[in-house]
Amino acid sequence: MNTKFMRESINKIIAIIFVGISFIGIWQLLRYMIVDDTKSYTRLTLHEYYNQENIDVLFIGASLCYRSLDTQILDESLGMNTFNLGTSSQDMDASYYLIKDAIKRYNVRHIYLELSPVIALHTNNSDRELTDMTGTYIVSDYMKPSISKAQYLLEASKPDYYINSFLLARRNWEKLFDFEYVGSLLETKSSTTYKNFEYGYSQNETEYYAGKGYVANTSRILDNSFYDPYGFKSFRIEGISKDWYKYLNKILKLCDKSKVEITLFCAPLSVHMLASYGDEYDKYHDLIEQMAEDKGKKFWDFNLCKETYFPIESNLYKDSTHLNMYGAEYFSKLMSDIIRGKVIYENICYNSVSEKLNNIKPMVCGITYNSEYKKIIATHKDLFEYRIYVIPNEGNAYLIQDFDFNNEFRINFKEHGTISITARFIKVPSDIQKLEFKY
Amino acid sequence: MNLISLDFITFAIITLIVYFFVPKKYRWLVLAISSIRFYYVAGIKALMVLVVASLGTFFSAIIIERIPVGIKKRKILLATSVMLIAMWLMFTKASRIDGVHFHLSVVPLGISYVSFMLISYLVDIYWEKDCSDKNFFRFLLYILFFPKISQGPITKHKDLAKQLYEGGQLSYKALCSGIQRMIYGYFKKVVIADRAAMFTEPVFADIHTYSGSIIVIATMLAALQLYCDFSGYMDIVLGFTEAIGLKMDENFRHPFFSRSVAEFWRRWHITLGVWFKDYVYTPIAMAPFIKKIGKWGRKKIGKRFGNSFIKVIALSVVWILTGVWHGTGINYILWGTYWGGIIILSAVFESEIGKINSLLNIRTSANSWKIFQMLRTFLIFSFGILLTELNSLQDYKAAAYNIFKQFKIWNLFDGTLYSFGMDKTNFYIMIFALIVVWTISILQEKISVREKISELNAPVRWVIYAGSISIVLFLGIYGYAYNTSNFAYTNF
Repeated sequence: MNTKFMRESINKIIAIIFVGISFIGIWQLLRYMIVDDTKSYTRLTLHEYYNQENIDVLFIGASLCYRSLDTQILDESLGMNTFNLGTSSQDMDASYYLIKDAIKRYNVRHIYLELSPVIALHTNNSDRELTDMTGTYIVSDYMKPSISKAQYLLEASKPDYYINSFLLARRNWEKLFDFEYVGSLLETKSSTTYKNFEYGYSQNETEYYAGKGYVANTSRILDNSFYDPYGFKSFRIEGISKDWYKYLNKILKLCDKSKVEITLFCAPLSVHMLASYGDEYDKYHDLIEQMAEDKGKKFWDFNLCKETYFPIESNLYKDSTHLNMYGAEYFSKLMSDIIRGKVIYENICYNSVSEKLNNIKPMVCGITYNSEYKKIIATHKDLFEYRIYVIPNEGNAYLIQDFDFNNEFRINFKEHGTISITARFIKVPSDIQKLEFKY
Repeated sequence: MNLISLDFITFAIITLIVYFFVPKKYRWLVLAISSIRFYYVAGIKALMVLVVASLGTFFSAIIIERIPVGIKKRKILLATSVMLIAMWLMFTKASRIDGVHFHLSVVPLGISYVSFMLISYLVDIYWEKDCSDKNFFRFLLYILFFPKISQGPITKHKDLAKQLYEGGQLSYKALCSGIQRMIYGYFKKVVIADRAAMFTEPVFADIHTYSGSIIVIATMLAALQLYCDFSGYMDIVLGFTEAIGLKMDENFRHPFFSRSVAEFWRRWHITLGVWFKDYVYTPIAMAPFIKKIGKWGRKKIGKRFGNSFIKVIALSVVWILTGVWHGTGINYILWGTYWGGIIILSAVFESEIGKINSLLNIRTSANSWKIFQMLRTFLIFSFGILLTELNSLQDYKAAAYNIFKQFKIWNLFDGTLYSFGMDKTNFYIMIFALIVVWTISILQEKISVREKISELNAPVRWVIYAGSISIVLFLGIYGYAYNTSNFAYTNF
């Protein structure tokens, strides 16, 4: 009786395991057939991450981290193995679970956590919509299976998204019936470039995966011609999500518990962004500084850097928020100098962004926009008059205003062409700055 | 708690596990607690209203049972109790009508089903076909049993209560078989019904703008959608019940294989049909007054009239009530009249229809004739759907005008079909899924598909299980991109 019962029980257990394996197998096959990860940096980053002998110093955060810190420069100058685990739109919960994994996996000595103000304003996990989940999936899709990963995904969203989170192929199931797509994807995935985790895709010739998490970009913004929507939305620290605080505190606790040193830092944004944020950025800085002080941690805010230590030129940026490879090279060297104690952080910074803006030469930085308005951003708002001239691709050129303090204007959103701005510095009327933007 | 939500699946799994590990004599308590928890999600007020209604019925049944047969009080108590339940149902339904000046703040989930169960319980006690329950909490479990509370099946107390109290006979085979049925139910619901809704909802919401050909396709799809939705729900419910070793009445038996409308209603929403037959049709047909008129008619006007009169009266009442039970608008009364009319005519003129068939030399045993009859029944049912989907006279006019004057058959071939709601890929998936259901239905008429699967080699069987779950998860219409449609009968 007992033997029969045992045999039946074993058979049932085998059945459950077999069904489970078949289920996973089916979904892995579907994932391979329809999930396009051939253009993903994170796939390469995490593959490299899992194959390190040890990581001594870990840099982590969102895109500002992986575009700002060149691990090759840092390895050479610090004489240690560094790794950049930054990923696009990395929220604080992702940072927490990645740090947790890194501490468990490697003998990490020091963690540098980048605190982008843009990420701080993301919504709470339970309010995330599908588009907000991209930042989560960019990380989770390439994390090795573990209880910690499951926990991360369960906490990352409301239950509505669990299927998408755990069964990747479900996200774009319709693609299974697009045979051209499936064929082309399978072809790309069978290439040695993909199999060997090399970066074979280039959206444009200016960007490449440089290794150990760092992504280099060679494009430059010339003559302060920043033109993007990022600075339009007002930045208010009241908008910082509860989950951001929650996971930041968890990270700090985890590091304390694991006896791993952690330093908080903000990578340098362009002057254009700082001028857009205005005084509110200082509130953000003060907030983190206070938190760091309370927990006994260091906080380095490179947005307060004096020009002599980190230039404010736009050609070090690929856009208003991210450094290009020239800027990253500069910044990586500065970072390593500070880590090594060659340069003292407190000596190279202003006390606030407002002080910094007041101390630099007045200038017009660029244009920021939303769906209706365009706004000219300048370091000293009331010291410039603008002549705005629009040259549409179709139709006649027209003047919007002739040397006026007004810095907001509208152009039909369907129209495309060139905006020509002549900015006159009122204190020295002969000081004219000319800027052109494609819109 | 929607049956296609993660909440419900988690809830069902937990209930199943606890049920398995609890001694048999306490299993009814597990179901009672789960059912109260399930109903509690719909609102504490609704739960309280239901408890009060159940309490009233519980005591009425005990008193009715105690009063000896033949005492007038017994009849009065039954009539009063039934009237109160019927009025409760009517007021609740009436309060949903637009323009009505009173609105009940509490509309209990599944009120139409609950009220019918309460009535059938009382009547069965009165007729001495059943014994009253002496334990209120166990009676409450019969009423609240969560798989059937929102959409039935309408089970009689004598058929279900004993099973619930005694606890199911658990077996690995029943568990697997029940889960298989649940997966099939989910397949019908999320792969077919909710996909079809992507097409039918925009068409019925703005019938004026669509050509006749599109309206016809939407109408036929709506019929299939309703079937897959409702029978899918039943498969989930009955699958779960089977998994815990219980058995409830079937509600569907491949209705689209019916060759007549009467047969259709013996295969569609079976428990509702049985309820109306037992508690409305038969009492009317057997009522002394009606019988007297029938007898009088047979003598004075003719045998046929006398026999038909009883049928006509009983069927008319049944179908008007069926219409009202399904919905509160005038369109539902129209729908009841439509079905009642067809069924009455085909019953009364049965012999004439037979004569016409033989006159036209139609061999009624031929497969082609059978297929024609099935198609005819399906089209009659589909047209009935059109009656309930539209809300105003203008809508009916527009539908008729577009079908007869603006048919535009080319809309089926020029891509218009895929231009609203459902694209080509989804359309083909739906067709494929319908073929799967149709094939399984044909097989089920002859064999038990689930038994056949259980006879397959274990690895094949296991891959089928994993594959079926994957298909539902992969192709289902649910989650972020879609508004999960509720089950069609949830509001009843």
